Amino acid sequence: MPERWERELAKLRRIDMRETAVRERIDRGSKDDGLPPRRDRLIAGVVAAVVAVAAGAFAWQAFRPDDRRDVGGSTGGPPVLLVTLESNGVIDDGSEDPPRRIDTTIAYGDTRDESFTSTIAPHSMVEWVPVGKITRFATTLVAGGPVDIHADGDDPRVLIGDPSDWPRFERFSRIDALPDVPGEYVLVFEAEYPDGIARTARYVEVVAPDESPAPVTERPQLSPGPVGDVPGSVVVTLFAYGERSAELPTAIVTYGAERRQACTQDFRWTLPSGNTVTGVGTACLDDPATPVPPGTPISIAGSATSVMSTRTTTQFYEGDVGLVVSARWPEGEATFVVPLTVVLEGNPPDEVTLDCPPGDRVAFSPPSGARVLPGGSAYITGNLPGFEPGDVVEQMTKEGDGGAGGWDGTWQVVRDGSVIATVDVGSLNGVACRGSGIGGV
Amino acid sequence: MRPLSSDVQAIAEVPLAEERTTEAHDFDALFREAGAGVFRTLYAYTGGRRDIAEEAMAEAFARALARSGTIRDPVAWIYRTAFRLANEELRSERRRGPVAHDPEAPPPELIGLIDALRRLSPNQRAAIVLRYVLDLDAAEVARRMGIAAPTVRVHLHRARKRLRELLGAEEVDDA
Repeated sequence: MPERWERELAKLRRIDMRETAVRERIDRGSKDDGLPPRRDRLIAGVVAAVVAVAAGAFAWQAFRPDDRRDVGGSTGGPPVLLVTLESNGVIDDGSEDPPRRIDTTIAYGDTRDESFTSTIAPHSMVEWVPVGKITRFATTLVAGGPVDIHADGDDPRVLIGDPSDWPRFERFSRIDALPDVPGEYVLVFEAEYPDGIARTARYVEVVAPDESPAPVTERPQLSPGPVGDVPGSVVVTLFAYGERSAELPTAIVTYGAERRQACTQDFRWTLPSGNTVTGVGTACLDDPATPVPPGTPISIAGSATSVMSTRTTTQFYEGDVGLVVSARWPEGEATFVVPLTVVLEGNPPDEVTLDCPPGDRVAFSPPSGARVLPGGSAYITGNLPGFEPGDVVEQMTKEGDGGAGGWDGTWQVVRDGSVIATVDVGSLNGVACRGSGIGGV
Repeated sequence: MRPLSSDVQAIAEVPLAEERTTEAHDFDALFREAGAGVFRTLYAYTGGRRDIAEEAMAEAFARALARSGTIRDPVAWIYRTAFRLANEELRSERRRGPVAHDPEAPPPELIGLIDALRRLSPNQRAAIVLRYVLDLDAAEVARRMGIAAPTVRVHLHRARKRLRELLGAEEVDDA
């Protein structure tokens, strides 16, 4: 018999679309049709996507202390709005003349906004996002404050315009200081490159000098976490909604010099007003993965009050893995996907050997009854008794393709540097050192 | 011949002269086969917003039709595109403030369910509907949502737990 919630859910099978209206709407065609030639479509798509990416992420606050002296206004005046555009390779769109990727940094006081855009070739058709989707800069700007832009392209410049004029750039004016009149504006940052013009925009609020700049969402206990401070570990630092981005909870993954933003898969957050915000991302699988060696410890840092991770170390076989981290805060929860790719420097271990005498190795089977999810090491620790804080559970072998999660093969349990148990994921049968407690042994 | 997945083989193999007619015919079949599922998933995903669900679905199908021949897996593509469009519209609505018109209320028999679904995240809603209303396995759910299968399992685990809390876990007699 189904549970009541399943019975309720089944009622959705009775609801139907208004088919005639939907078919007519399809027949009218896509709203983004009127397609230009392929090359222009590609550029337009790239630009639109880049602007959309900028709208979805990277409004960061309070990190990289070394940068603050450049923009913090320590002399008592308003901070400098410091913008840099820097070429960073090309975006492979399949054409012979691909656009160039331009990394953008916009710093103001403790706020730093990192993103990227692309060059736009002359005479290209570009579909600009609506003004409501322009990335809103995460803090207010003080009227009359200085503006400084640097680029490795020619003629870097800052333009300002009324939001209603977006995207008619001919109506925008070049500035070297913020306007004296408080209000809402669109700032456009541009430079010329051999591949075309690079351009990115931010929706900003300019306030009177007697109003101190305030982040969109204040959080006094900003905690950058041990980013880059744990040599040899993959560190995933979690940030609450508003802590680093005004749009969504974020996670930063660092390994050595590698530092990337993980994917925020979805989140749910209750604002101080009582309203609930939810969000979702569905384009995470194509994100670049951080290359790491096998068996690298994974640690979670940041402000979350509880965290569940599908792995505690990287896998021992070569290839990609999507580390899933679910976190809770008092105000909400979020799930992140951290793309990692394991690069083998040598051969994977052929077999797992316990660090206890053969006479002390005892076979075990899992307790009967329902098993709990999710998979990976959490599946093992959640369904077998005897684990202690600090035990590391890591995958040693892999069978077939293992499905999307690769949750198969033999895993080992390491305690204080010694291998104390092995577990077959499929059956949860295993062998443990006597007295370890694993599997009841 | 380009290597294509079997579900679009018919589109790829037709002679060029017949391409338009055949594509239209295939998309019509695609709509009949997948349309209801796409709509019901979007209806749940948007928390019972029929207007957004239908518009996102129609726009996704229209875009797929305009790009026919370049999409390797039309069903998954339509799902992912529709999710994105619906999400964009929901976000846009939040930025604009309260909508000027009252969205159509769900049918009386669905009010309790929709209210419960609104307490889940959008991805939890989508995963639970694809799994338990459309009877897809986790790998197929992941393909249609464009996310990893482990993530789907996390969404399903949380969604089931929440729905049990909200709607009740006791078994009911189907008879």
